[in-house]
Parts: sequence; C-alpha cells; structure tokens
Amino acid sequence: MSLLDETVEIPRRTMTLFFVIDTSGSMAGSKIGAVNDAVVNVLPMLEEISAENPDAEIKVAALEFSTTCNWLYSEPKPANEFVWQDVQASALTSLGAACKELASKLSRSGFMKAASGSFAPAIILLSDGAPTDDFESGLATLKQNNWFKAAIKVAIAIGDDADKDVLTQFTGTNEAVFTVHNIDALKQIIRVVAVTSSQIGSKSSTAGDTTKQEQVIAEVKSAVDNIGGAEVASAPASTASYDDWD
Amino acid sequence: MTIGTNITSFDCRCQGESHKATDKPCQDYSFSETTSDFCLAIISDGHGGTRYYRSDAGSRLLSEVTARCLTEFAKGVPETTFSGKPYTTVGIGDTMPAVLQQLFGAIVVGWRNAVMEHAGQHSLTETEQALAVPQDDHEWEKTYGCTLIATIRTPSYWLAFQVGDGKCVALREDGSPFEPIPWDDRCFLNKTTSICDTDALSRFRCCFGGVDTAPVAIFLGSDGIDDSFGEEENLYNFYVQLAKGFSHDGHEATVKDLEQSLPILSKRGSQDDMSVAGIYDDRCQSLLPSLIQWQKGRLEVKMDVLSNKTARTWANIIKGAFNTDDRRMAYNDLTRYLKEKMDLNERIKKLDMETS
Repeated sequence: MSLLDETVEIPRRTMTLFFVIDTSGSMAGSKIGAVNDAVVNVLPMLEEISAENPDAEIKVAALEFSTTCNWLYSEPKPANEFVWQDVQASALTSLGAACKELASKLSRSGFMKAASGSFAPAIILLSDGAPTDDFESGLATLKQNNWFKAAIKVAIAIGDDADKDVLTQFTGTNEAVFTVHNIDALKQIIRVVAVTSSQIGSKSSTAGDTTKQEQVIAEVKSAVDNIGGAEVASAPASTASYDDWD
Repeated sequence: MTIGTNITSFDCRCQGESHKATDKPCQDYSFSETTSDFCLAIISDGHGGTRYYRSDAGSRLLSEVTARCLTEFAKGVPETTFSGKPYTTVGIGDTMPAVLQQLFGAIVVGWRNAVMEHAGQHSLTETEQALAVPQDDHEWEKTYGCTLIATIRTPSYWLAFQVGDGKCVALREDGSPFEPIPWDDRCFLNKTTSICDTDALSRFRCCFGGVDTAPVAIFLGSDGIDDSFGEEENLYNFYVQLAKGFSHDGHEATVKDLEQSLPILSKRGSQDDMSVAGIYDDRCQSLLPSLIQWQKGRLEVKMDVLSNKTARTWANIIKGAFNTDDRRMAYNDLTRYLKEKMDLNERIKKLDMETS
C-alpha cells in the first residue's frame, strides 16, 4: 500500500478564463465578426498553453450580454473542448445584469471549484458602448465576490464610444483598459490579452509582490505599442486615432 | 465506546519544487512529540512573498514557541477544564474560552519576543536590506510571517487550533473524514491570515472536547498539500490513504512513505513547500475496512454520476437534440466517460482486493 498509488488523485489546478462580451446592437457587423474570428483563432493557442503547463489546466467560459445575458456553455470547458458558437449582436447593453450573472457563477455553486487547487480567474470584458441598465448596482454585487476581487481583470474598449470610465470601474484601474480603433487591432488585442492572461494567470509563482494583474498589464502594454490602432485607455488620444470598422 | 489510549504522533516536511528551482529555503516547519502526559503535533507555513524573507525562521520559532506553550498548558490546566466536554468549535467572532484565549495570547507574545530576539542576533544581510529594511517591531514581525495549525491530546481532552490557511482533517470512529476546525473566510486563494497580523489573536479558531469525543486521528497539512488536491474530497482521500498506511503497514513504514511521497507530491501538485503532522490512536489499527469502504463509496458515487451523464448524452443523441458540432462533442464526451468508467472500475477492483 503506497501513499501515492492510483487510489489518490492529484488533479491539475484550474484557471478559468472568462470572456464577457457585449453583443448589443452597436456591435453588429464587423465588430462582432472580428470578436468571433479572434476568439476562434485564440482557442487553439489557449489549448497549447494548457497542454504545456504542468501547473494548471485552462478552462474557458463565455458570457454574452445585450438586453439579456447568456452563457455559451453551462460550465467552463477545457480549451480543447470549447467550440466557439458565433455570437450575434442586437438590442441593449445590460452590463449591470451581466455583472450580477458573472457574480452568481463566480462561486462554488456556479463555475468555480474549491479555492484550494484553483488559480484566480482571468476576466476579459469587451464593450463598445455604455450600459443601458443599472450598472452600479450590478458592479457593487460583483465587487463583493472574492473570486472577482482576486481575478485578473482586463477590458477592451472597442472604439471611442465605449464608456471607459465604466470599464475602469470594472477592472479597478484605467491601466487595464485598452482601446482599439479598427478590426485588425481588435483581433490582435483579444489574442494578446487572452494569451497573456492565461500564461500569467495559470502559473504558480508570481514575480515578487507584483500582482498577476499588474504583470498582465505590463505585458499587454508593451504589446500594444506594436499594434496600430490600439492604445492604453489612460493615454491621451493620439491625433492619428480614429475608428475604422469597415 | 472504546477510546484509543496508545497515541502516536508524527511530522514530516519537504522543500517545494518551486523553491528548489529558485533556491529558496523550505519555509514550512513541522514538529511532533509524544510523552507520557500528552501527544502533540504542529505545522507552520512561512509566507512566500518577498517581504517575508525570514519566514523560514518565523515558522520554526512559532513551532518551538507553540510546543513550549502547549507543554505548559498540558501541565498547568486542570484536567476538569475539558474533561467530559462535548465536541465544541470556536470560529471567528465566537467567544473564546478564557483559558484558550490565554494560551493563544501566550503563543502570539512568545512568538513576537522570539522574533525580536532572533532579529537582534541576526543582522540584515545585503540581500535582505535590498528587499526591505524594517522600520519598527511590527515590520520586523512581518518579515517572519507564517501560519499555524496545532493539536494536542491528553488522557482527558483534545484540542486543535489554527491561524491562517492549510487544513486540519480528522477521522471519526467510522473512518469518515471531516474538518474539525471552523474555516476563516479571510483565507482565500493565496491570501491568508497570519500570526504576524496586528489582530492575530482574534484570528485564532479552534475545536476541543473531552477525550470521549476525540477523533481517531487528526492530520494537519500546509496549503501546499491542499493546493495539490483541489476539491476537499481528494484531500480527505489523501489522509484516508495515510491512515490506511498506519493501519496496514505500521508507523515507521508509513512515515517513511510520507517522507518519500511529499517531494513527489510537490512536483506533481502545488510545487509548494509541504508539511504534514498528526496524532492518531490505536483505534486506527482496526479501521482499515472502514477506510477502504469510504474510498470505495466515493468511487461508486463517481461511477453513478458518469452513468447518468452517459445515459443523458445518449438520450439527447437519439432524439436528435444536437447540431453537427454538438453531436461531435457529445460523442467525444461519451468516449471520455467510458474511459473514466473503466478507470474507476479498475480502482474499485483494487480496493476490493485490499479488502480481501
């Protein structure tokens, strides 16, 4: 009888990457098409990171919100099993409701397992507008959630109409809000943010007392410098900045 | 009810895989002692952040101070204090019995004094100065920050207490595991309460009772152990397997197995430092069939869940509920369920062989 025989399971730790995607009417057309295309392309990269990572398995969950909220799957799926279903854009921007829905799943009765054996999740919010519902109340609920407090939170503002103050409130810092002005930049930033968050979020050790969110921000910032049409939201708008979605 | 009388203690620790890679010392410490008057076990886990650069010394000092305080406690507290008491838990915010408040206060003060004495004898190295130079006593204490779990059993009572994360798991007389000490919700993911907190005394939580309520075994493990197993059931299973070892292979062989297994567990699991300590009594020796039955029971529950999933998936395929992509995923799920069921079957067979 050995202590570590096959009777004893040692599962890999889990890191869940959440996509929270605005599918309101203003996202219709090339924006939502770019989001669909970018996520489909990034999934194999996440699968690779997960397969090569001895520390953790990466799982993916996606919440779309317009007038209502909808999870693409009823549970987080391993990256290699997550088949992206293209989302369609229409109607309003119920970000407050999305926050409450996210809070309900950031729990052991929802999508999360025991805190032991889990890494804090990474949450990527994509939006091109302003909430049309009671965002403050939704965010207040979410901010009480321990998983949310510990999460890596990054927002992608799609175009200048995105309410960056709202996105800053969501991430907790304007440095974690990245603005994109065209389709190529949107696709590239989704890839960079998803890959970087997964790489850093699923590692056991952090560099000193720097938080994982700070590490993600630093890496994405340096990548943004090389993406035309993308910028850190807090930076002054460049004169060359413009929205080009067609 | 027969209460075990021959009580044994053990402890074991190892440097984590990630600490080996970065040449960091093992920041966990463990201690156990068996005397004619009592049996005790202690683990302490030094914090890993850069500001806690003396937490390896902090965890050792805390274990030593706790052992000393518990020894005095066992000698000084009248047996009637806990004798005949029911199993009682005291969580965060609950009123702590005065005698325990005094014990925990002595541990906190004793550790702070030990830290300042150590600091006085060991001036900062250049590396430590580059990290942070403590400006006052509290900042010094922070550099030694660590958690604590301890248990003691005497002929008349038992007691277990904790500050911070890590888990204490006990075994009932029927072999079923449970966590006897209430949890502190401030401990979440990599955040933990600590003996170095200014309000450390208010973060102690504990459980105790007369000897007739004593668990067969009490195991203490640092968060490096918990994080390797994820769900509590997997962690409980590890300790059940450990108890099976004590029951079947004996004390020496099982402690040796534990010492050899912890580095492997760190490599395959959390990569963190690991410490395990505990006490168990002679009822453990006759517990083997119950422990095997507990392990078998959880596998059978898993088998039922898989069978239900399989049936549901087949039903949906037959009634054409899926589009092409979903159907492909459903067949993948069925293949995975089948493989998992075969694996579970093998493990159940192995447990049956252990029973026979």
